Amino acid sequence: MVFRRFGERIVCYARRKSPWVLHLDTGGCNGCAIETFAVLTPRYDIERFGGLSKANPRHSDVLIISGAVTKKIESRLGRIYDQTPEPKVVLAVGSCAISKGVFHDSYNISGPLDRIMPVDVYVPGCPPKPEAILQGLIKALDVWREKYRI
Amino acid sequence: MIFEILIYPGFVFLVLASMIYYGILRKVAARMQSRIGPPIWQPILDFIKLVGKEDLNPEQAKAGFTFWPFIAITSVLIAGLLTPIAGIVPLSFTGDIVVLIYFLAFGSLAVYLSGFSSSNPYGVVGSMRGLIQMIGYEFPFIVSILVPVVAAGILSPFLINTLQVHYGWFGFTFPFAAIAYFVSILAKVEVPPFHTPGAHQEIVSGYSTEYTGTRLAMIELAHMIKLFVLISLGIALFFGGSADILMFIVKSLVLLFIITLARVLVARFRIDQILKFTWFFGFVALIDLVRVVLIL
Repeated sequence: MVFRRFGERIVCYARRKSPWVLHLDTGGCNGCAIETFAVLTPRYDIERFGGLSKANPRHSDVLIISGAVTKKIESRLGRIYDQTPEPKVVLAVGSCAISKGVFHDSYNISGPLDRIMPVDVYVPGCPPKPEAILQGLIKALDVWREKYRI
Repeated sequence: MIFEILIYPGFVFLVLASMIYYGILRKVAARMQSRIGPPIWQPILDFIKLVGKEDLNPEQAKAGFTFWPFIAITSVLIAGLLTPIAGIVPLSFTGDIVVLIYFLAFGSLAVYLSGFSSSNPYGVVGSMRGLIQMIGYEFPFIVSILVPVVAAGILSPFLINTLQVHYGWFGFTFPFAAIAYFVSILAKVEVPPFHTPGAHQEIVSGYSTEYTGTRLAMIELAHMIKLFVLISLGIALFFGGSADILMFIVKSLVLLFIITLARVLVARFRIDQILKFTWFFGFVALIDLVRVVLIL
């Protein structure tokens, strides 16, 4: 029992130290997407937190989702969420993902992101700065620790 | 004997050292790209995290999906036991270099078969690219290994290692073979310019696309151990051998640094360019083989 708890603590620690990231742009103006790409570049470098950019939901732990959710991508978004193995966290980046933003009356927008999947961290801004996205990522790891507390 | 197989330089040392070496590779690559980079024990954290994740089984996956990654890591570990590390070989018998070549090839083959058995189109394409690449790099690999074997007249990497410690580097006597061996290291561990099987700009993650959790950890670990084993085999066959652990660490870190340079500096080959490039180096190694046969 003691060994089991100890092992779970080690896994929990390792999880927080290696978040592999999947970035997904769900539509909209691409502004948040470019800011998210800036996080992956050498200047902001998520690899110092152990993160890697994986273009594959099967390998990733953190889903960074930016842009207004269009009707076309809604079902695909659900599938990508299901393809990601547990434990996972979801970041909603930008005003459009949080509350539809300037696209709020558009005919082909199917709603804010948290109607489609559980969102753990919201990063506001239009677009948010790369520092803000990075802080959201770090915060997501803390949320993670609380969510999967042993 | 048991200590050598299990602890040093056997399973525990192999696994930990190959992870730390891969971490050093990532850290140095990050510093070259003017980033801060991960700590050097990052692969250990990645491994523990992956073991703690959910294992997903796709509906269309074949039966081999569950066991090929484990076979890959087993064969690579056995290859590690047959390789001289710091002047010690846990398992040694006559003709073990042939077995070593087979186990290294089978380690790659099992990884590609795991890609085929996942039934994912990206996985299948990645595995096909890997097999085509294998046709390319096995030729220079085997020819360049044959050169010191024929020169020394022994089929044991351990004895070749001790021979080099006493009589000087085979890398200076046979520079072409040493270069061909280095190129085939790059191709075997899929370091750029040879990272076509897992090219994530083209095919999502190649053969490991469908893999999650423990089995993905096994595939990644097999990859790291393969890098470590190939570096230590290179030291034993060409780069002067290693009598003690200090010499081994210095030589292997220099080789790792050159591999890191290749990883940072060069872009990806197309698959036909890979075949041309590796077979060219195969014939370059053949020059040395012909020299050896004519001299002897």
